[in-house]
Amino acid sequence: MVFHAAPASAVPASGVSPSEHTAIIRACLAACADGEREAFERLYRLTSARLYAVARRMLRSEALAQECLQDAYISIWRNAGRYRSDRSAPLTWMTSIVRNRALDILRVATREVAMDDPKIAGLLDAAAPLDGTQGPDYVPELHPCLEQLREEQRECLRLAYFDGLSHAQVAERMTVPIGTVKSWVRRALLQLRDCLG
Amino acid sequence: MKLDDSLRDLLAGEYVLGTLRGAARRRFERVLQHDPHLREAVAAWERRLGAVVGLEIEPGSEADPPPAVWGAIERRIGGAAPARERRGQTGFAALWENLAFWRGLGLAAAALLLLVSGLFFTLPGEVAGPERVAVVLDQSARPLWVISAKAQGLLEVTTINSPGMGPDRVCELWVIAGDAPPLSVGILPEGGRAVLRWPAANSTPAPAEARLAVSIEPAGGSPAGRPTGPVIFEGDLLPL
Repeated sequence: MVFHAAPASAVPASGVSPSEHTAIIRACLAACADGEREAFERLYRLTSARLYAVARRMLRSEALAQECLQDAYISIWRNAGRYRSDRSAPLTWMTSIVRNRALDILRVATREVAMDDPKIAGLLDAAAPLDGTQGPDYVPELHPCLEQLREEQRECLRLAYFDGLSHAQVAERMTVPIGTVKSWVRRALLQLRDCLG
Repeated sequence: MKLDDSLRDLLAGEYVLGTLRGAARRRFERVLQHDPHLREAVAAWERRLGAVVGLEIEPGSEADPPPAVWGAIERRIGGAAPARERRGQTGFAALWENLAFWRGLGLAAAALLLLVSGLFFTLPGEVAGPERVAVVLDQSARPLWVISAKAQGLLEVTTINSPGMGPDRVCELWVIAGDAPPLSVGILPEGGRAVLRWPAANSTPAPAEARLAVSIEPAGGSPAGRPTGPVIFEGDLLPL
């Protein structure tokens, strides 16, 4: 009797609840910490589509996003033993690793270089719900704590978090002084902390 | 919160948001390495921002990366194992190795004990999850079942992947407390969901004090009232 190779799947098997999906990701991470390659591959299959979306959103380049993803998963594999399950959900931890790597890449490869990549134009069209020009059917789910913020504060957070923009770049994009952006961001963070605890 | 703490916390927020840049970011990362409180603050911001802003990733934007990405990752990890493995075999790895010989019997599984923080359940739209949970994996780290202890003495079993036992073998779930003989809970499903009842005997422990075990038995379950085939899983139900 032999195990059948299960087809890799990036989405939870039907009937698997979000909490069970998280439990599986957590179990894979624990096995990675013990050097289990198979668990690492499973972890990749379960999470790479999501993390790739995060990287593409921030880097606006498929090539850079793929480089980012590679580095991030190497880091996840090497640091799996440091993941603390009592501190954050596994996908939150993994997303942070991708985001930090993307910010590093952004520092090196300027956005101007990335914009020259002919592949980017399509990506720019496909991504970025920055100014309501996304598909008319897509309404982002708005967290109640985000709803309490003013729209320009939300926009600051999105531009920084998703697009990896600095204060100065956010200011340029929104055509407001940099000091204004800094105070919007600070107030937005304080309000979020009050709201979420 | 003292003023200092409040400022440090805001800095942690800007770090996670990505607006802390340049030399300031480098300095922050250096401090982070030996400041557990700051690491806690960063983790809290990762959770907050992930929960509120991270929600807004458009579902349709998720797509598998090209296969070359995984190929490159595999090449790069080469023979390198994570740090913990180099320090010596942990209990889990040792168990895993021991289990290798079950493969001939058709099923080798290992238990991974899960500690799922309450964090996940603070996300919007989530309902309260099961109280305790265990995941049974096979030797390829393929999850077979998620077993959740619910209220009213029920165990909800979700098949993630069929164990592929064939017609004459089943996987039977047992509850063990201390040195007492295992109590049968029931047969684990080959697919789908099943609800099993926690054994009602007087000696039955609460889920918090019990261990779970899975053994391979003839069709219909163990004829002896105790595990007769190889035990392929043993582990606790851990709190969510």
